[in-house]
Amino acid sequence: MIGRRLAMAVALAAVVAVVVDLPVVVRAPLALALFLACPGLAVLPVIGGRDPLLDALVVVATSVATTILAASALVLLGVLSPVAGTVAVAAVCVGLGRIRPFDYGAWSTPVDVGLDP
Amino acid sequence: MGLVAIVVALWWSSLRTVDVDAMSDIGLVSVLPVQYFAALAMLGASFAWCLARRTTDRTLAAIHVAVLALMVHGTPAVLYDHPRYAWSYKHLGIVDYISRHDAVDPSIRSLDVYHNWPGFFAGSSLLSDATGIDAFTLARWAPLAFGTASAFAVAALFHSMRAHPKAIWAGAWISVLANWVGQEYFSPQAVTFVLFLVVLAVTVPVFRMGAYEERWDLRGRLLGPSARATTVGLILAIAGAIAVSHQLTPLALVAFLGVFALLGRVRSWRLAVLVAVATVGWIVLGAQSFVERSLTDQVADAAAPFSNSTSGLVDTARISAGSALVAGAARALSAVIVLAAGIGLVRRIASRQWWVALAALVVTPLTMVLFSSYDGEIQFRVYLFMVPFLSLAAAYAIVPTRTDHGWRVAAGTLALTLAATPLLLLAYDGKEQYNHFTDDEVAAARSIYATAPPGSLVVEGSRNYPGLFLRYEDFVTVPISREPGATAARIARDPVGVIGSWLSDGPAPAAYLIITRSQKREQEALRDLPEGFLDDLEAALRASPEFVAVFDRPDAVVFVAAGQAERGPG
Repeated sequence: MIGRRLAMAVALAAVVAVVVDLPVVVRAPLALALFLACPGLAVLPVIGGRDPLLDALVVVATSVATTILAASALVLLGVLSPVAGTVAVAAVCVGLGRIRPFDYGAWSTPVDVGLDP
Repeated sequence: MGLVAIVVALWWSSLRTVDVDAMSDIGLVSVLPVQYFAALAMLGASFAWCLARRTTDRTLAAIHVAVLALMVHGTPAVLYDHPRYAWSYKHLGIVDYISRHDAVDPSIRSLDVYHNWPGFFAGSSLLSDATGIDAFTLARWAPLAFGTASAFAVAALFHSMRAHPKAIWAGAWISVLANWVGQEYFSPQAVTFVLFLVVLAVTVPVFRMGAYEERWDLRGRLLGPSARATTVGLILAIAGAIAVSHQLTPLALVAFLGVFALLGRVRSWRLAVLVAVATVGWIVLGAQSFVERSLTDQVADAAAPFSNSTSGLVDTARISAGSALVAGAARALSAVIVLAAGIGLVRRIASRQWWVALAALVVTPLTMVLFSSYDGEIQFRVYLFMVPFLSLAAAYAIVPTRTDHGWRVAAGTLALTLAATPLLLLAYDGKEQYNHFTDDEVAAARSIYATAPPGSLVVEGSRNYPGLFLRYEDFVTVPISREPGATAARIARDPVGVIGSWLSDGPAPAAYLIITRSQKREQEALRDLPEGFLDDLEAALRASPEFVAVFDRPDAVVFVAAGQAERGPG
């Protein structure tokens, strides 16, 4: 939960940094965190996590995919700008962060008949 | 851990003595000092010891793989001030276009494919503009980021496939050593390859067949319908980003999801269909203008799979001895990895462990040859997509069957590393003499592209220079090396007359000829032009009063016709 709130806070801070055009030394780490980590961190608790390595990759991949999709949509509309792109990705991040983790009900152990039986 | 720290320190200190300008036609290997090779050997020995221990220290193994990726992909980034590969600069040109126009133009006459699959470029433009980090800097460090991410994504995929713990990290290690094709540069292929691996790594555990046909989240908890929908949504979002960024990777993803389903191990049929729908949807709706223009070529490619598989292979009899050695190293490395994978599969069969699925995954990318030549590159892309599964199979050649002892694992790891590493250094860094660019070359190109009027003509010795990274749509470019042989012969007979007419007689408001060091080195290696052609051309134009060198530094020169020089740069 802390990760989700932190992700949303960083997303909003990145929007502020880009909108008011703060110096690169402040703007770059915030915007990088937004584009490469925040959306993934926001949604990770929803999909669960087992393996730290896979979790890290899912966080980055989800964030990069969000950035690519948001930027693609804006570029197709002909309105891609740093502010528009940052706001769009931050909005998705906040939206993902508001999805409630599911009540899984009964816990159980999966039966392993996987690729390496 | 201490040894790894020493390796990193040794590697870093070794790079301080490298004289890039002294490189020969076998690339970086010719200038790397002995400390670099000592560091690599120490890392290999340390990793072998790491794998030989009874239980695998996952963190330590991961650090070894990360340091290997650093030494392989980080070395050029540390040594050069500018991104390597001429084609990186074309990609920078698309990012520049989007940054200036906030849009793409799918029907543009030049580099239209990138405007039809704009995802990577739009994302890079946003990343660069919003962070304030120059796109050149992103491109310079991209190979290290993508190379490292690929290695870890491969490890995560093997973990999801429940491979042997030692095979997971041996496979990730081998995947770094095996990947000589150089596709992790600043490109759509690089980012979509990592995303492709992550999608597979997430799909396998979540959609693994269970005894009660239930689905599980990444923690092994039973997923309800809404949680399942979220996970599918996540996978589809990543697949969607792949679909809008690259032509080939979504097809590979569909193929692999289909094979997983066919093997009966992962319930991925519906997912494969959804990804296929997203892919076809983008091709039909988003990339319509490109598809309409290239449909004839695509149909012709689909009818010629053998031609597709051989069209990009270089004729080693024609190129320089050093370049032939580099090409041979690439083929030898591929052969070593395939041989090791074969041994791994035989061991799996002999020990009656699963092998059919692994063999099927190894050969799945071969189906891509049936559909396209991919502009002569399809065999390299096929190899790229085979590398993860070849690496896992090769890992099973060195990790334990039920009876193996630690020293055998260490010996196998070390032997494979010692066999593959020299070949990798030759194959991956062997063309660096012309794949890296100096300040002079970048400045020469910038002097044209930053100031020339729209519609200008740029005659290039060859395409191998840092071109088209600014206002690319404003220029018409003519690389001499791609002109018919008769044209080159005509220029060789009368350089002043032919080039003079090209630069002066056309409708372009300004015209330039750029000749650079990297163009000359490329032509010495690949020999598309006669020996000494560009040197002779440069000398002839320098001696002629009809031309003026408006940019003249040791590594690059830009000529214009004397009349244009009198009128000014415009």
